[in-house]
Amino acid sequence: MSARARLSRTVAPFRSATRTAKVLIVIGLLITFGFVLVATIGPTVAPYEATQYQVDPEDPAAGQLPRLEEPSDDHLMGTNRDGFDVLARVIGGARVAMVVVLVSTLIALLIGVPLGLLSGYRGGRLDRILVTTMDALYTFPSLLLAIVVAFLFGELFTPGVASAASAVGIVYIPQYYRVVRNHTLSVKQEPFVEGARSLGAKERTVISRYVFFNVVQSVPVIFTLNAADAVLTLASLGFLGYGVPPPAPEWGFDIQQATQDITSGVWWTTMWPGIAIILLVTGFTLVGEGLNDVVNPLLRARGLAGPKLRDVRRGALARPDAAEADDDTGSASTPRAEDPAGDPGAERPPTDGPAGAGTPGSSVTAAPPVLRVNDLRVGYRTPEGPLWAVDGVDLEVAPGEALGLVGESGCGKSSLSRALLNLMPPGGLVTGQITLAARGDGPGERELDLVGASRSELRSVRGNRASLVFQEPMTRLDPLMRVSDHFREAIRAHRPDMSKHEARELIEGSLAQMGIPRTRVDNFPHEFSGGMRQRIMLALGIVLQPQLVVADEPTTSLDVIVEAQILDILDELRRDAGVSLVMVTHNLGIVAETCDRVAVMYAGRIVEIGPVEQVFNAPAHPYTQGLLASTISLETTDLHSIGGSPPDLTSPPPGCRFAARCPAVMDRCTEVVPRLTPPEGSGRRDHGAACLLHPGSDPEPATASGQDVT
Amino acid sequence: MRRYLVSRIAMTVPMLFILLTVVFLMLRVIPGDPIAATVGDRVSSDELEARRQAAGLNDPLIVQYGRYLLGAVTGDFGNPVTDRRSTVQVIADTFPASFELVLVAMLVAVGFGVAIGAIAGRLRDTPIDVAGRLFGIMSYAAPVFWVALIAQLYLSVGLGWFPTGGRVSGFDAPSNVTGFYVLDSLLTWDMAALRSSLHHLILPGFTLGLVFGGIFLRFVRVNMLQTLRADYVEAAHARGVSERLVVFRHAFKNAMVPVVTIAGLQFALLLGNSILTERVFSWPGLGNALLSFLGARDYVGVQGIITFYAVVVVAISLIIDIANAVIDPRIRH
Ligand code: SF4
Repeated sequence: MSARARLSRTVAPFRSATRTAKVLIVIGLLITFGFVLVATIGPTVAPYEATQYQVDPEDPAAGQLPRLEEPSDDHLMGTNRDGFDVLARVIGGARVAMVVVLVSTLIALLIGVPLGLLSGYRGGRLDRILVTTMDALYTFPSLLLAIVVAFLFGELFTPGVASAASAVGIVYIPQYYRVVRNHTLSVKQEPFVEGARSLGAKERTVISRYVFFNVVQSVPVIFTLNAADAVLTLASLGFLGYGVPPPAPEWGFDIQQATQDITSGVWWTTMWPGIAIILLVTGFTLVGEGLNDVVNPLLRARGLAGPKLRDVRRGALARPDAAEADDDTGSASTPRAEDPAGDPGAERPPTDGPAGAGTPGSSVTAAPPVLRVNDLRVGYRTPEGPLWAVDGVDLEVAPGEALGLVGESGCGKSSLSRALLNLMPPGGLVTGQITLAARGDGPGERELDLVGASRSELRSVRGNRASLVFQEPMTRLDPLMRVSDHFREAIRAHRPDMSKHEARELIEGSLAQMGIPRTRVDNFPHEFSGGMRQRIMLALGIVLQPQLVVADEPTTSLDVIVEAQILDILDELRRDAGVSLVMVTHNLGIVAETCDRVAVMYAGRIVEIGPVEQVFNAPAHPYTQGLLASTISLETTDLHSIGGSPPDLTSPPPGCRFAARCPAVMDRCTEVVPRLTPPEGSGRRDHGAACLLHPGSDPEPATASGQDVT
Repeated sequence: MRRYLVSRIAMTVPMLFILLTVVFLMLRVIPGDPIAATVGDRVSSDELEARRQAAGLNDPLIVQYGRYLLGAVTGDFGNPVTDRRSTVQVIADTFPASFELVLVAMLVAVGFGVAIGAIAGRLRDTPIDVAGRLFGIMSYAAPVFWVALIAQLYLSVGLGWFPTGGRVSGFDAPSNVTGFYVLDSLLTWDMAALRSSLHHLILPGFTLGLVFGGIFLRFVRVNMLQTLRADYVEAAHARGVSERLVVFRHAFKNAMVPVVTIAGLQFALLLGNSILTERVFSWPGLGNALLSFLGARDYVGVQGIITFYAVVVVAISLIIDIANAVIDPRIRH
């Protein structure tokens, strides 16, 4: 798995900037700038003094302002017990808070950054000591640390804004230290530092500059989040009497003074400074969290992401060379003109009858298909409307048959494989028909259309009658759960009557079949190698003897030997247990080895389908020809012999979707959508290709005749 | 597991050593000495000198440092100048009160933070989620002492539902066994004491806990969002496991793993912030003891209590790591 794809999977999903998130950021910015404004010009425009006694303009004879007066038109927030206007104190407090936030950050930066540089650059024992010290400081309760420092500074110097800001700032040193140290450590290993040194540049200069540019990016986030915390710490210090000393207006100190008012039911002296604190901290927090999302480059690369569009997102993020990502976005905006029935003369088979021999893609054998897919479309809801990753697919799979599903990254094969179990993320849509044949006469064994099935019906099918074996065995098992418990979970869901003893026998037996010794069934997933885990996943998929196994790139991340083992197991399963198999892969070699038939997908549609030997020996569709010509074993999904890349499915081209890359393209190809039809001269109705080079593919042959064919 | 335990315990030594050194140095940068600072103007210079000698303050700094370290390790945190009791005795008298308060606050914080966070994560972008998130941010933004005061103002003074402070009213205190009043009243089966001490615990515990619940809420929510789209969750769906089981057994359980770590950090923070709650509710805890030593400029007392906090913090981080190893099988290896 590429580092990028892994990152996108772990980091990106919960960082998507939804609309709510954006609204919250805007609110945060408004609050913060409001406070900046109040802090700068507020004290000069406030009607009353915050720190000096003044004569009541209403009643000069009475001298000072009235004490503890309720909020009124004269004093919007009332007055406090010393005869100050609460509003003026709150406004003055905003300035004090802002100054302390700035000064404390400066202190933390001035100490944390050089220490981080030194520590990362020098390494060795100094680094270890500093790291432990910073860790120790970080784990120590920050408020206690601030109190002690404020106390010491108060003893050493005169208490004031500087001592309070130092006490607050010390708490944040470890965070800046850590960021800078980590950047310094990583840049030291960069080759360009070596290069700069050989060119005679000073290593230290190069490192400092690089670290500077990286740290500058993350500082705003740390700053805003710390600023929120700093406001709270300052107020707490003030409340305990170790903050900015009076008469300076400081919210925490004012609330401390107001504690005496509480027993007499006076609320306004406590309430307003507290609300000011809550507002300012909320503002900083919202901005900080918003910045955090913006600074994250992954988010920017992805742009607008809809909710939980995991597959779409992965497709958009990973380049075609990321072999494991083969999801895609499609669009349904073009009406489909194609008719999957091949020969115009052949009737579509009735959905409940046996497979008609006239449909390309029907089984070679006469047995009724285990799986029948009609006009399947798979889409994802996005802010721009539904995107169709699979756009009209018809398939049949006979009992014991193996069907290979191949195509480039993003052709829709992974979406299709999940849709076969109707396993969609929220926001995913499946339309069409997926008919799973009856397995027996029991109530849970009847024929079922998985698209129309209820949730509980679907649940009873998944893992029981049809199962999905994923790629990436490393992440598919719950790390906190013993391997045996994964099995037990499935058994309990589908065979509630099975006794504990029977279940144990079944688990051990099916794992033993995969070469996992009985002694290890109770181990945790991380105790197994990748190959073993994939075998465990396979065992999990077949433990309840399903009719159908869909395997999505089951061997992608495994080495050749393990791959061969897995393929052997799948083969045996099919031959001995009569399980039908849909094998999704980009590796044509695997298809040639294990499959009876193959379906080639391009841009959400099947472009060619038929028996493996026939398709591989006489490919009818130009795309299949290109695939085979580029390499027999398609290790990379990069098709060197086919120029260009798949169409953007947010606005798919009209007509044949391969037209832009097709060496045999004709004018008409961009006008009509070719139908899947037996290629000329193949003489086989079970081999189909969707290409206008084959006369039956044109849905409107009458108008087509006489058109220029280049 | 045993190897992990040994190496993890070994790691606490340098951490403790550095913390203690920092504490020692910090309280030695102040000019003058603790005895002069507290009683200097009240006693003769001869007596001052005698007391200084007795307290070992005339020894070289390195000797004092060694004695301090040795004391901290053997459980001797010095003798405050302004208190007849030893620091250890002061801690024994006050720490149970703080610990009881912090435990209740922790229960409140974890209980409501985890519950709302998990629900908000599961119901992402619904009104419940938005309300939960806003509540998380606001409760983080509210100063502990302010929430406590407002609760006191309306619920104690206004409605008279709760006492305004203290651990018990009148002579309801249970006979002292452990110092934890709830536990003591249960041990001595003293129902009046139990009722009274619980009644007194509610307001301080909830106001402190609610504020910290916001942090758990946000954390659990983000974790749930992440685990709900984990590969193993999709795989569990593909096995036909019911939605309820997938959410609880896979998503929720995995989301809770990092919460243990956060709970440890929060515990230290709660311990620090309980000083504010103690102040508001006149709670006779360690925080108030520290404040009175600070007020009296009793460096020895301050140093002793801070040292004790340092030991507790290191112990908590050790316990958290061990708990993590028990929960998450991956760490053990
Ligand atoms: S229909 Fe036209 S463009 Fe499409 S594959 Fe055939 S020849 Fe090429």
